[in-house]
Amino acid sequence: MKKIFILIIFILSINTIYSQEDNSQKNNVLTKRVGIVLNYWHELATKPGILLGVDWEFMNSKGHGFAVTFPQVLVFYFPYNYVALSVFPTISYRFIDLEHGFYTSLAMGVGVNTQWKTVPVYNMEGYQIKDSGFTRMIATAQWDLGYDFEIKYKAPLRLYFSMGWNGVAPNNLGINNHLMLQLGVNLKLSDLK
Amino acid sequence: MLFKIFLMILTILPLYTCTIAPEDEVLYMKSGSSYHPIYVRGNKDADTYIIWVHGGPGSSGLYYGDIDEVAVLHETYRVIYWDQLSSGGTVGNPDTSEFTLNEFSRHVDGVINIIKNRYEPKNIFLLGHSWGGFLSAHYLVADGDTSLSAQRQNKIDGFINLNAVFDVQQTITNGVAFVTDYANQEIFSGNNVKKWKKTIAWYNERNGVFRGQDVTTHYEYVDDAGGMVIQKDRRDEVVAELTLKMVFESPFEFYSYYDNQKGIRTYLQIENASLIRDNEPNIKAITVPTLIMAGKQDKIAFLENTREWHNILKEGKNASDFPLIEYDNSAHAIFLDSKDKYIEDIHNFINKHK
Repeated sequence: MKKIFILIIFILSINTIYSQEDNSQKNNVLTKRVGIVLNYWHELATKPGILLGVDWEFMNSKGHGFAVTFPQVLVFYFPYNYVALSVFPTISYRFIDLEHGFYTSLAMGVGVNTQWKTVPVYNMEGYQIKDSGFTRMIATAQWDLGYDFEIKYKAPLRLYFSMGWNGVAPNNLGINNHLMLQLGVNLKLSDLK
Repeated sequence: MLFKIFLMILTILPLYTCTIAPEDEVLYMKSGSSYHPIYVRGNKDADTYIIWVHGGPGSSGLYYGDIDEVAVLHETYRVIYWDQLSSGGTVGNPDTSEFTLNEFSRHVDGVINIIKNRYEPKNIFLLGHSWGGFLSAHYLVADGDTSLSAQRQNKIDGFINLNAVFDVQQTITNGVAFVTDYANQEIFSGNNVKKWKKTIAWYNERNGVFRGQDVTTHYEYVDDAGGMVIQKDRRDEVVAELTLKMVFESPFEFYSYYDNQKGIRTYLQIENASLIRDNEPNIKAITVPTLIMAGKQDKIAFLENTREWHNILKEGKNASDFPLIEYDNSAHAIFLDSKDKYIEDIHNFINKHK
């Protein structure tokens, strides 16, 4: 948990240093927006997690753009069982209806997933061992639908719902597939000053 | 306002997460690169522990204890549920060379070692359901190594084989014959002709060899033909009840369960596995008291096979230590079909041999 806390602090620090926004949209050129994303992540029929990341978005005056979300951390904490931590950047294609604020995005990500047990681990001789966990690869693909409140209400946030897939591999000679839903908020950091 | 509500949802939902009963605990066994969950449940003060070896291959031990008809055992015993390699919640990335019966048997031994060291129980009984019964028996036979077999049998006080299977080949052959006979009758009677013709074609294509999801499909066909469970309404209720429990009150993980199932049913090749052949290691080597429980309508572990296997098992031994109990109106899930009697029989067997 200490490592996670340090990572969160790191993400917030990076954003404080680099967050900026220009008003070039008014001049019909590319706009840049830096935000922090916080998602409730639910893999269907299983346990929930929390995703936190920094979102770097570039958009033209017609509302089309792309974004890189990095660094991004997904944490699952299952009481009496284990903690799983995934770090993965995502790249997204985005579109915002600049008149009404409706927002949609297609995103993909690849990174690493580490899991370690929070309960006793034994070897087959019956003795408790120290377990350092294990690391695998994680890949994600998702579709977001949401609303950008800045367009009409000048509020520096975007709320969205996502659905998609993630796979963790290698797992038992295959991929451990998950369907997932997310409820997320993307806060523009420049307005957090 | 909307933002506040949204933040509230984000805060509350993660708290709605996995909980388990205070007397239960989860452990893990590491074998190679794999982690097997061990779910310890039931009466903490019990001096008798039951190690439940799940069926399949590719089922999960983690949900059995949430079935009311099984959970009754928790009142009297400490019950240990665990997941086999590439089953249920087991994670890791084993080599294909680990998918052997001997390796799986070593895992059974590992679980027993852990339970002995951690809890020092007075008595341990091994309970295998279906494939779990075969695996438990294979563990006890120790592939013909008499010294290892004796060593393993000394670790337990008794073996309970629920819907016993001792010969996978016979089980598959008879299961296929049962479904195809049933299908032909249905076709002759004009019931679901298209479906049953498709079923027969499916079996013809596989020629007795099931890989990956084929095992699931075979079980579904046996179920459709009435050979899996008699109390189907109760089974459907159990499935509905378990779904929510597995999400919020269990270490069970749906996605691992299904993905693992494909793996084990592809890489663990057991269609010729047998523990009854004269010229191979067989169940005659089992000397620890063994209770065989058979459903009369079971079309996975057929009663007529079970009676033959039981004769081989008890040959030259004290028959009262090797009872065969046959259950009326019961199929491959005796714990659902004969819920009271099977518990009573387990109590009687354990009380006699602990």
